Formats: sequence, C-alpha cells, structure tokens
Amino acid sequence: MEKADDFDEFYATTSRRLVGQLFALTGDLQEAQDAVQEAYIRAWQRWPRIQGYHDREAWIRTVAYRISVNAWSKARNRLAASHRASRHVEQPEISPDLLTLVGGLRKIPEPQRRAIVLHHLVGLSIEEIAAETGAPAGTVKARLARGRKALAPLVSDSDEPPTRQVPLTTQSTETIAHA
Amino acid sequence: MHDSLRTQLSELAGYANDNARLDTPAAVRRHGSRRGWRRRGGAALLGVGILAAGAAVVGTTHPDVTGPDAARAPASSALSVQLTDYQTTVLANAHVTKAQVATLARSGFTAAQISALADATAHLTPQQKKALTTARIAAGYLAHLTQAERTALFAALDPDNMAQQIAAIAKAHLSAAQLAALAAG
Repeated sequence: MEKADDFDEFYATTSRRLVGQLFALTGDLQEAQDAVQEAYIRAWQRWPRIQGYHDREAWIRTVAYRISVNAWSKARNRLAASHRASRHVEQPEISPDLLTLVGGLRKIPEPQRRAIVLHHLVGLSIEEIAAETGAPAGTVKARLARGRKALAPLVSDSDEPPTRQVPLTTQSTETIAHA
Repeated sequence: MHDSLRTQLSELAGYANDNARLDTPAAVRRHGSRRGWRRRGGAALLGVGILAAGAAVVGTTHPDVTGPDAARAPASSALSVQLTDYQTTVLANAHVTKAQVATLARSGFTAAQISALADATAHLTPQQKKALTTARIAAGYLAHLTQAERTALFAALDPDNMAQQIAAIAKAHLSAAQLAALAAG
C-alpha cells in the first residue's frame, strides 16, 4: 500500500496546481482537467519508475501538455465541448482581466505561451525551461521576450481589484479557445 | 510588467485550482490499473494468437472487443493488421466493430476522409447528431461525399450512434495499411 499512498499524496498535493498551469497553457479548464488526469493515469501505470524521479511534477506537466496539444485529444475535446455547450454549463465567475489574459495567451504562438507560463507561473529558470522543452536557452529567452511584448498591452500594472465579474460559460471559453 | 504578469497568471491558475473537478486518487489508480490489465491481457492474447496461428497476423488485441466480427477474425491473411490497444479501446468505447471499419475501408474511405467527417460532426449538438440523416449529409454537413460513399456510411455505421462512431474511428487514427488490411480481411 506504500506505493498507492505515495501516489495518492503526490496527486493530492500537485494535481490542482497542475490543472492551473495547464489551464494557462490551453485556455480551457475542461481540457486542462482531462489532460492532467490522463497524465496521472499514465503515471500510475509507471509509478515504480516515476516514483524515483527527481521532479515527478515536471513529468506530469510535460505529459499533460503533450496530451493537450495532441490533435486527436483536441478532436475528442471538441466533441465533449459540444455536449457541454448544449447543456449550457455555467462555470464560476472569472474577472474580465483574466478573461482578457486567457484570450491574449491563446493568441501568442504556443512555444512563447509555454515559456511564459513555465517562467512566470511555474517559476522555472531559463535553464530549467530549456531542459523541459528541449529548446536552447537563447531560444527560451527570445520566446519569453516576444511573449511578454505581445502580452504587455493586456497586463495591467494596476493593483486595483477588478470592478466587475462576468460569468464564464463553457461556450465563452470555447470561443476564446478558437479565436 | 513582470510582477503584474506573474500575479495575473497566478490568479488565472487559482481560478482553475478552485474550480477543477478532479477524480479521487483512488479512481485515477483504478483507471490506470484497469488499462494496464487490458494491455497485459491483450499481450497475452496476442501471444496465444501467434502460437496458434504460427504467424503474427492478429485482428485485435483487446479482450473487451467481443463482437461477432472479432470472433470471425481470420487467422491469417495476405495483409496483416494489428490494432493497437489504444485504437481497440477507442473503437470499442463507441461500439465500433471491425466489420464496420472494414465496410468503410472497402467503400474507399481514407483516413483523411474519416478525419474530415469527424471534424464536420464534432461541432453538431447532440440533438443534431441524433438526427443525422442522408439529407443532412447531402446538405454538406459531412464533407464532400459521393452518393456511393454516403450509402456506404449509412450501411456501415449505427444510425443512432453515427457521429460518435465516426469520431471514434477518426480518433483511432487508423493507418492506410490498417484500412487496406481490414478491407482485404
């Protein structure tokens, strides 16, 4: 049971954080959840090996990311999304600022988005991002710079809290995702 | 700018963190174990098949696929086809039999056409999917099909579950060789 306990503890302490990171990468909460859960399922199948990894969270993040960018997964998610849209599932409210940020992230090239999320959200160094993405450090720096430049107009420097909350429906995230 | 970006990304992740609906760890382990069992069971069946037939010509390696066609799978054929565990699972989940895929393949459907069909149906509502008719297909919902292809599609697939079956076949990402082998089988 030690193996299961270790997995359960790892899942409990990391899964929600990883959904957050994948959400920033994909702009779709359901897609992020699905990808992260699938990555944990695969991790459990290889747990004796993965258990010994120095950074198990990075393994899950990388696998979940690959799942989320896989074309067949996207096709399945579109199908699932149409089911959800037909039920008009209401997600909890999200601020307009965050909604704008999601849209902005979706518009920048995927390698830039990944670099931005890994650096500014996950807190990885340039070298760590290079190791995780397989890109040279110089390329990572360039992606970060370009990504930040593209997002600059969308990121407010104000510390004021958002004044208005808007409901985030599944349909609205879909619209953003395909913008 | 850096701090603002970090803060807003953290808020975004926090939103997902707060609203994520995840399975329990036990449920995740169950999924993983079940899939592992299928893979091992499939490998065992494959081994038995190889020993019995004396050739590595296998219809399916998935123990859950028990349709009549699976039972009639030839022990050998000029072309060999082996569906992966993933493909078999995807097809089985949508109740797609090998015979159905073989019928489509014999009608000349390519992997690209199946993928286009899946894309065309993916955006339909469940009600529209249930009401898939020849008229809708003719109206252009489902890519550019000939009359013969449309007829074959309806003959091959379950009319009540057609969109899901198309999606599953596309998701299985069958290769041209696999489709050819199924058509020949």
